[in-house]
Amino acid sequence: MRYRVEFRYREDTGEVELLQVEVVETGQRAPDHDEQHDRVAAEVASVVEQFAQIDEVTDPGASAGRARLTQPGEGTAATEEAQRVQELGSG
Amino acid sequence: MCNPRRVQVRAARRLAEAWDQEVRRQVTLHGQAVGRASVRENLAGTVGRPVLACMDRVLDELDGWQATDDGYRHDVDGGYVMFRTDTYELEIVAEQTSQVRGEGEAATTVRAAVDDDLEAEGTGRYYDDEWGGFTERRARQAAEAEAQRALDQAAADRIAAARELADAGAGDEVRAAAERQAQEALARAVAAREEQLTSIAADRLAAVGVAGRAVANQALARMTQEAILTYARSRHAEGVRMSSSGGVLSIQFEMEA
Repeated sequence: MRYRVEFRYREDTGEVELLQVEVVETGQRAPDHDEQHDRVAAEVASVVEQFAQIDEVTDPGASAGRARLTQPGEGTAATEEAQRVQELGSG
Repeated sequence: MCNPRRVQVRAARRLAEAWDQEVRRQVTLHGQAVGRASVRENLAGTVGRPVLACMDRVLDELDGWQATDDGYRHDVDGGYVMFRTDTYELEIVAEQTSQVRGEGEAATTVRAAVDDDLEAEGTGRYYDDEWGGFTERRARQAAEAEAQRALDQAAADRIAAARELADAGAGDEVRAAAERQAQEALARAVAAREEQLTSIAADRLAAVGVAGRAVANQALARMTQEAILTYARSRHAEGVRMSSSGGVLSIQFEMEA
């Protein structure tokens, strides 16, 4: 599977504003699509933070999911916005 | 008037004196008192290992960071920030310093003595025709006076030398005692001052923490950037793009996995 990774953070504070791992559609959906997505999202998240919680949020207009990565304790409630971003609060 | 004549007088004196002499030394030692208050954060429990693995490489190149035995240090107003590379701890330290001094004084009494035979000469001039009042009698008196002055000077020199010798003989021991006193006084002064400085440092820790956290966060941001790019390379990522806008750095790439 092919993934698009976007990572945004503030240069002055180091605060991570967005870490998003998105599946790039290639046509047929693999049977283990979700498991692979979770695994890759966890791998990317572990680069910047240990034990990051990963939330999957679904864009109503797209078939592929996006992994939302959160800090432990931040909570897992996904927003209902149409364009969702994955935000990782960082200290 | 004819050629002047000379009268030479040789004088001798037995110099035998002994006296008690005080040997005193004062020592002042200067030192520095330091009071610290600190807070530590264990990064190993939260920050990703790849980010921490970039610590040395990034901090070696970032301005203001100095490598130490324990890690990397960056001074800020009123203290410093420390990344400990052995434990991956971030430590912010408020530090107050002050110069202090300790004084010590010691004395002892030593016996000094001189025992010497002194000799000196004096010379006087006169004229056979006593021209100008330069009589032989007057010349002899002048020669004797000169010889006595020379003896007085020699005696004073001998006594001064004996004093110096006695002083030097006991000086090292007396100085060592004075130094011990000064060291004790300095230790007391340092301890007393450090108690005050530690209290001041604790009061300032919050303010130092703000500045220190800002410096540390900037460094962590660079480590994170480096870790993300290293990861992208390891995954043979394509289309790696990095842009900065409004103080926000964005990194994007695509990869197969």
